[in-house]
Amino acid sequence: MDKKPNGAAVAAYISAMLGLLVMGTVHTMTGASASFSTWVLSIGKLWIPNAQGIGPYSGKETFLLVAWILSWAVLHMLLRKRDVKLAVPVVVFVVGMALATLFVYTPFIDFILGK
Amino acid sequence: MAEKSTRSIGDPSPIVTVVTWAAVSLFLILVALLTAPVSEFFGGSSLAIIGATHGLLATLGVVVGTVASYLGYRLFTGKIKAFGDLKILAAVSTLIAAATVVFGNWIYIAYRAPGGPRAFFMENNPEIHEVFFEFKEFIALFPIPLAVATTYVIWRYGDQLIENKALRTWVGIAFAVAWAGLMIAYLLGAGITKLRSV
Repeated sequence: MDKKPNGAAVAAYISAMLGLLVMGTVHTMTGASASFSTWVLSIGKLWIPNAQGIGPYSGKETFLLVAWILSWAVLHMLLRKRDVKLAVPVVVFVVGMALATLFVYTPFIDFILGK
Repeated sequence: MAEKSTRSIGDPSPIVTVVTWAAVSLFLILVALLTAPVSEFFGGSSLAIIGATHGLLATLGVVVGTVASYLGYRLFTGKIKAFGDLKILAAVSTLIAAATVVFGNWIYIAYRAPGGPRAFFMENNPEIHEVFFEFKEFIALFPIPLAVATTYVIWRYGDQLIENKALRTWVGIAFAVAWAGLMIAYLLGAGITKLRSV
């Protein structure tokens, strides 16, 4: 059996990380601006039932999904036939996941927003 | 030398064993449902069943996710034998994680409602909501894209993963991160529910 290029795997993992990083970034920005938070809620209301009940969280989930799926589609098209060295993508993935985690941790958000 | 079957006529087959076990379990569950005050156990909230379903799915997710992550660790070390099981469990874990979040969204409405747990925490101990619950609600989403990506990679590359040390290392990292998210969300959820439930 022919060895499959690893580009599709890189696309899958990097896009998952990007989706979570975008969600964390949006969450942090809602802490900085009430009007942005209202706009994020309006995005969630576009498709999530009872989005008002769960507030801006609905929009943050939406950003996660959209960033994840869109970036996966783009990266998959770009990388699916390529075999790449994994050291750099793995480091990018790990650092991105660490940042995504910090961006949903309130004491860190308060620190960077100077609260 | 291949293991010779030692089953003789009269021994129960695996199918008979499983069917018997399932029938007896269903009978006992039926007896419990008919005789125990189940509705009292769930509580009086209008979202009691939804909340219980969220909790049961989360528990199931932790169990299945832990077994899948163990197999992911075996893949990481290059010593996996049950690769077929890993493929199935990775897919099942993904579905359970997604279903848990859907039901979590549902009861989150009750959590945020006036007079709900969030209002209680904000009045009595804001850090419970602002630090622990906020973190829990987001970290619970982490396993979904990671589980989907991992399931995709495992199914796409199949047995080739076992020979590809670099890629299986990445799969192992993803399993570890997803499992950590699963456990943190589960433990924080259980702790917060203990303090104030919907």
